[in-house]
Amino acid sequence: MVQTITTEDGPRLLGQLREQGLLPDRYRCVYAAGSLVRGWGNETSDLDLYVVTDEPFTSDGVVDHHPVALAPDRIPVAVPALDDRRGDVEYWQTDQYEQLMEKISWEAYRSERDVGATVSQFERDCLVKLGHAIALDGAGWLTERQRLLRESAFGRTIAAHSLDLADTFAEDALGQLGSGDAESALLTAKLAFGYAADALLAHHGEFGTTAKWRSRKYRAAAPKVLPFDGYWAIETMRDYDPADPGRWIEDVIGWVRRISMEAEV
Amino acid sequence: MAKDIGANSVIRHCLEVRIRSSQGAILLARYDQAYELPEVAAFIWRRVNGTDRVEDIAGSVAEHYGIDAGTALDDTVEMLEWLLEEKLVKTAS
Repeated sequence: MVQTITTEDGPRLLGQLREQGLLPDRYRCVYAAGSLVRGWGNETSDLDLYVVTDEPFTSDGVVDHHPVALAPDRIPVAVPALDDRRGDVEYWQTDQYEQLMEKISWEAYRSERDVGATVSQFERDCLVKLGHAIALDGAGWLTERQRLLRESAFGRTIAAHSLDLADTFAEDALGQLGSGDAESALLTAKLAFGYAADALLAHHGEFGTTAKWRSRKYRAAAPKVLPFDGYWAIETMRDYDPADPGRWIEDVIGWVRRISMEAEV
Repeated sequence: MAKDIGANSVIRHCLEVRIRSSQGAILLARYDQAYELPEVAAFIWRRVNGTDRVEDIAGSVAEHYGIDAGTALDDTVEMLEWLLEEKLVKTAS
């Protein structure tokens, strides 16, 4: 069984970072996030760590930079060995978090509902993981950022963006079905449903934009509108009848629409 | 025009209708036509599921708004007729 990372692992992990020249002398917070923190990890899971500083961090151990639509516009990344697994350490600056929180503020959401489009993939990943992160050091800083995230429009942004995509694919699927292209319609309907599920999860505070952890998050969120068994029946196409593909496709689009009614935007 | 919807009709949403829920309101869009449903219409819309009969929906309306069954049925049918005219719902086959 893979051990879940907790705050008690902090001193050991910080020590390993320090030994490899990957811990700044001064930092605001170091936190762990991702599957290993949520108890969903497996033998191949990376250990995701975030180091937050006031000043830029440089080290020979930095092997990559993630592009972000912030200033500075790059996030240094190191991939050290931590315990017996691969670490994925991102070095963010406090000012970048401030900019990120501004992007997902209610004010930004109300003035430009498509604000989600300005949050890049790496920024979104950071916010998704922030919600369930645990502090290895600097708990006060993390607790405050998690509060700001909970009170932000991030969930609404994810839901609105996901529903827009779900609608687009739902209409495409209906068009394909109407033209007799049931195979394409089926795949497109599945896409639409995935985005609708992401919107529903965001409505319930489980953020994500890929299918990777969707089933886990769905179980955690337990939405009443479509309980897990029904959700899983669609994901696994349990009721699909090859002799009548249109029925399954229309049922799925029906669920996309029903979910659209539940996820507040 | 003869009524297309009766107490035993079963109604479903048209699949091409986009739906949003915002601040308690139901917003619909069908192609380039947009609608914001008033409260009672939104209440009825939420109960349209392709399974329940109009009479069942009207029963919910009567209970929720504290009106008699006959009035609730008339109001529900009238609202569903309008939704049908706008091609936002259809009778379930």
